[in-house]
Amino acid sequence: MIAIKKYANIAQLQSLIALFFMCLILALMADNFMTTDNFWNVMRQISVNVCISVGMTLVILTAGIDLSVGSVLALCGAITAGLLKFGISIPSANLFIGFTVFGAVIAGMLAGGVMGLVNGYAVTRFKVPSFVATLAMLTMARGFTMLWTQGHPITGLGDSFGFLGTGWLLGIPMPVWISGIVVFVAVILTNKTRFGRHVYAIGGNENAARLSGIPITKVKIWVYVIAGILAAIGGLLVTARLDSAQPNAGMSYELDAIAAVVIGGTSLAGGRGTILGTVLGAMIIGVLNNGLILLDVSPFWQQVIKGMVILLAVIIDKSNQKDE
Amino acid sequence: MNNGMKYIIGIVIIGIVAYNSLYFRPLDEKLAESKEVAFDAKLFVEGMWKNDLLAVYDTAIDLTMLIDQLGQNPELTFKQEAQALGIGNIGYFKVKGEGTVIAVNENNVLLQVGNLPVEIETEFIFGNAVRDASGLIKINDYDETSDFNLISEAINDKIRAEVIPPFKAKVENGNKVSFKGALELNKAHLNLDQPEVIPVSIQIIQ
Repeated sequence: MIAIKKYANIAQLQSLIALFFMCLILALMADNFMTTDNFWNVMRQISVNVCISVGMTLVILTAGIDLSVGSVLALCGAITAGLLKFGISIPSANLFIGFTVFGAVIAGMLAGGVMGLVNGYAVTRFKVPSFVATLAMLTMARGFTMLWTQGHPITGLGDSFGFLGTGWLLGIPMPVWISGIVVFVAVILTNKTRFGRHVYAIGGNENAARLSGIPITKVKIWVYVIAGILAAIGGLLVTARLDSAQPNAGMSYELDAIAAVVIGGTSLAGGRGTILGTVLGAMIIGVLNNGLILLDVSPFWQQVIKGMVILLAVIIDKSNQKDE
Repeated sequence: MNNGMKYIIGIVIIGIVAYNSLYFRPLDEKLAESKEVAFDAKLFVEGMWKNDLLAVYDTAIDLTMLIDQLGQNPELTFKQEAQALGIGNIGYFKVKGEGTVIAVNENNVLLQVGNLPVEIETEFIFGNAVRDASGLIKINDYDETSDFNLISEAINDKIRAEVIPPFKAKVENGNKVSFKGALELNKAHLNLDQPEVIPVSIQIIQ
């Protein structure tokens, strides 16, 4: 545990230094980078990535991967929007079941949890590699999203729901509050609970964890369920912010989430990393995106630069492991 | 805490969540209500055509003046004169002018407006230029994006059915023509050589 903490501290320090220098360079190069408006803009933008990256961190800590989060995000956003806007009609009973904002949000999160459960079952019970199981879920969830929305956006979801994505509370945007609560709960979960210790133990050495009596299957399933619920929360934020559930929402968000986790110092081999490191990673990705846009860098070059940053982060991660 | 108590607490929580999540209504009542509020884009456009849409196009900028301003300072001209939906480079302008017909083509009528050749579209009346250039109709006023799109469709239908045919039936080379319409331009790829105008009103004046 001491080694994990030492590793995590080094990784976080590196991320923090990288973030500091990025902000410094961008402040010098882009006039409107260091403004309050831009700060909240960046924070709002990274909120979605923070939510799904926290779930991804838990999965990667168990030495797994969840490629389905982008599609799960889209489907949960669409389910929430669809239920809120159209409810459920049962013609045979002449019954219309309407959903309040609260009800639609709960339904969206439950849907995310169910998709996580399917991922978890496939990985643990049927021993499907997490890469393959979640890749299959990525495709299925995207297909279900298209079926549910018929390929059209669902718009006009009302001010109460929109508040979740565009509202402000005590001078802070709602998405930042929501992602902040997610981070707080995840930090407690990983650092102060038995479940958190089990997650690290499984990622560190699964056989040793099994022999120690840790319920591997149960813990792993819960990890995927949590990742699904957090992807759903990301979907709610995206949908509320745009006042529209887009069938192609969340495309390649899984890559941004993995990037945030890796840049934040979580080892892809599992067992090492922190939630706060991931938050720093998400901030680096967010600031990088924002800075490249403010500097008017071509979108094609933006992809190249982001890829290089991720590669650099993995190389540094490997070098840290060797040093130990 | 024994299991019985856990189940009771669980059921109470589920009950509270469900009570605050769902509401029930007869389906026929709900459907009747939906029909009442169904949006009729054609009716909407008929209602706003003369007093609102054409009236706002009366305030359009002279096309030659606009092209001149765009040549000098495109950024400022887009800011002052264009309507835009979103933050992209596309801007929509209300324009008006007078010119002489120099060609009547299958898909358009070519005018000479000052020193500028101007294409008046007569066949391919598509897109959102007329709706968006007017600045009258905002996406946020519509719950359904499809309703918003139907307005463009209804406007374009009306232009195809009522604006173009009487003009196209009589126009000949050498006619002097007065027009009002919408012009779509891309700030990043500004091409001012031969503007293409979708007319909302066009008359042969001589």
